[in-house]
Amino acid sequence: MNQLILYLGLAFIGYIIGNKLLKKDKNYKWIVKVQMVAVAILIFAMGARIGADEKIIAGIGSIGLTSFILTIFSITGSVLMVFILRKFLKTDKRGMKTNG
Amino acid sequence: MGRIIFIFVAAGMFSGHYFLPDVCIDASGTVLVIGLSVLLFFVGLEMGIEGSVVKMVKQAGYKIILYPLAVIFGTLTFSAMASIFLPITAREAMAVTSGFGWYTLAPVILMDYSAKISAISFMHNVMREFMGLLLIPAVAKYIGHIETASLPGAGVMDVFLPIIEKSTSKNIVIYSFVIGIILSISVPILVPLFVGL
Repeated sequence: MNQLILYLGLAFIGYIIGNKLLKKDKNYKWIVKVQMVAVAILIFAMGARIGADEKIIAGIGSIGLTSFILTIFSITGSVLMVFILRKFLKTDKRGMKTNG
Repeated sequence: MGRIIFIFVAAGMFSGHYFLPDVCIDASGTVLVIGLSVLLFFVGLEMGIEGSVVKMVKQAGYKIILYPLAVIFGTLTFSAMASIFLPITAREAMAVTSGFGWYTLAPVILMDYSAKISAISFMHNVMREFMGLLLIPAVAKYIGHIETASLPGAGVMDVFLPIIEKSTSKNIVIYSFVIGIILSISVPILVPLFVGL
């Protein structure tokens, strides 16, 4: 719970600063660069933890299969629920409101 | 960007397996928390500069919010069902799938919970983006246009937006954008929530 509050709090503070204090028309290239560096470090650390865990390396096949099944199910669920909602909101296949 | 990510994961796995002493692996927890804090602050900053989410929703009508909620609901219920056949719990399955394709964030959040779940999260979220991308033309043709925006996950607000627009029409851009934004916001909320981090 603590981590959740920390991350959300920081994202929210970032949002407020970006929205109220920084100019919209300016292109802040360095923000993208900082994000890239953070992502690179995080992904490397994550890889290192996974690589150091013998059980994961041994069970990589089962992990792949689990990931694949979760992907099939989550995509099916998403499309199905959006389809039901679209019918319910009387919107046609192309995303236009139908009469009646 | 995609290629760099895979190079870094592979390099990390290789060094974690062969070189890095356990001390480094144990210390990586601190690196993760600091790195994630920096990343999320800047993600928030970027969203703030791009303009107000609220304005976009107002423009399209409040009912549009129901679409991202349907994607979240469909993803979570179906992955909880899938967990019956899988060697993970329903909560873990939902923590994995609520990454919504954001494979640079979701698995890192889960690292402190379990390396195995984190590995599943990385693989699943890469697959969700990739399979989602492949399915866009077929779903647009046979099922419906708004449905295409539910396929790859959070990336539909930026990376996949032009691809979805090409397979559907300009009408779908607003759906895609709102779905992408709401999914992106839910990733750092739902992923830690399901595993109690």
